[in-house]
Amino acid sequence: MDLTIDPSLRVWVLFPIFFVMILVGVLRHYATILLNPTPKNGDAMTIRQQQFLMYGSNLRLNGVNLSHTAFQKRQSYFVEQFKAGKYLADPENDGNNNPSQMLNDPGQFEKVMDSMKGQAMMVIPQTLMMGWVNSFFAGFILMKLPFPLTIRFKAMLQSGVNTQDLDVRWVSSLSWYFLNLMGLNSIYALILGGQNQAGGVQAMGAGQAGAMQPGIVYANVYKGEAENLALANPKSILVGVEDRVIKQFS
Amino acid sequence: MNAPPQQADTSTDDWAANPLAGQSIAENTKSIQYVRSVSSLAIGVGAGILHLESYYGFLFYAIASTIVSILLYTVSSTGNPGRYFVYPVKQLFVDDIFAGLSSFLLMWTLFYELVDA
Repeated sequence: MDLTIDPSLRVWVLFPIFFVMILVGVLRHYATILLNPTPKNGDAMTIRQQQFLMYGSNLRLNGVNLSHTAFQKRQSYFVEQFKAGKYLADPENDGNNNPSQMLNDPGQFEKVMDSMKGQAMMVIPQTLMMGWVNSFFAGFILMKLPFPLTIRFKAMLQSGVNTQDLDVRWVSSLSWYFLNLMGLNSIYALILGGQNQAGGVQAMGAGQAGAMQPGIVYANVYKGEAENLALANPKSILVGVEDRVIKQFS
Repeated sequence: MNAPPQQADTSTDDWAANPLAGQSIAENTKSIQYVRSVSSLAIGVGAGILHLESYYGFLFYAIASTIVSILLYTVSSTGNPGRYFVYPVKQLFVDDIFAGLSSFLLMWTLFYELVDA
């Protein structure tokens, strides 16, 4: 069965949805940059705690570059410090920040608010756009998809069109909206560069990670790092370096 | 492509002696993703203008993106992708193929519709 579609549908439905979705993405990109909070520095003690932990893991990962004795000296020193819980930010109150208390802490509260802001930036435009398409462009066939779909998609892609036997390839404007939602990432990459914040479906789930982290007991993290570090026994690259250099240049 | 992550001499497969440059690897991976997403748009435009339907369109995408992979392999990384990527074959031929598929579908549908009328 072949349908003849009014060409003005293309001008007044297909292009408007396409361009409005691109522009909403661009707008969201710049709005996200504007709302993006400047990263906050913690107090000196917290930073010192993290830096010390980083020293330990760096030593563990890059220990190959040290000679054997140099590594062992550093290893024994760091294991000792980690076990003693030196450089903890707040040794008495460590790990007491459970989620109920977390909202009282202004720093944590802001973190939660920022992640919620990011989420809202994703969800609100999406909801508005879908409502716009659904209310303005409902009830007619817009286009023919170039690929066949199974009959299960009929209810979703031909919503508002009361024809029983119409091929699923004829779809309404809502499915053009969904195609845009899925596929505009590349166009954003083309317009805004690869590291854009315009977001598509892929970016929607990503914001949720790291929003809520219940209190980490840093004393335990230190103990774990001490154990890992004590087990590390890297073979120094300086062993036999003379032979390798001679082999390389001979 | 960016500076090679590995030193030129790869005679020893010891990564400690020939360390990987994480930044360059990340940058190279990003540039692959960019090429993939832009080329998938172009492939979609092509498929739409050629007025391909159903399986032929997907076949076209598979063939064209393989050509892009081969070009990345031979031209962009000068036939020696081991210098730029940790897993060259996997990164150039397998990853990101399906990431571009949705953009391909979008452009294919759009241009199919425009040519149709």
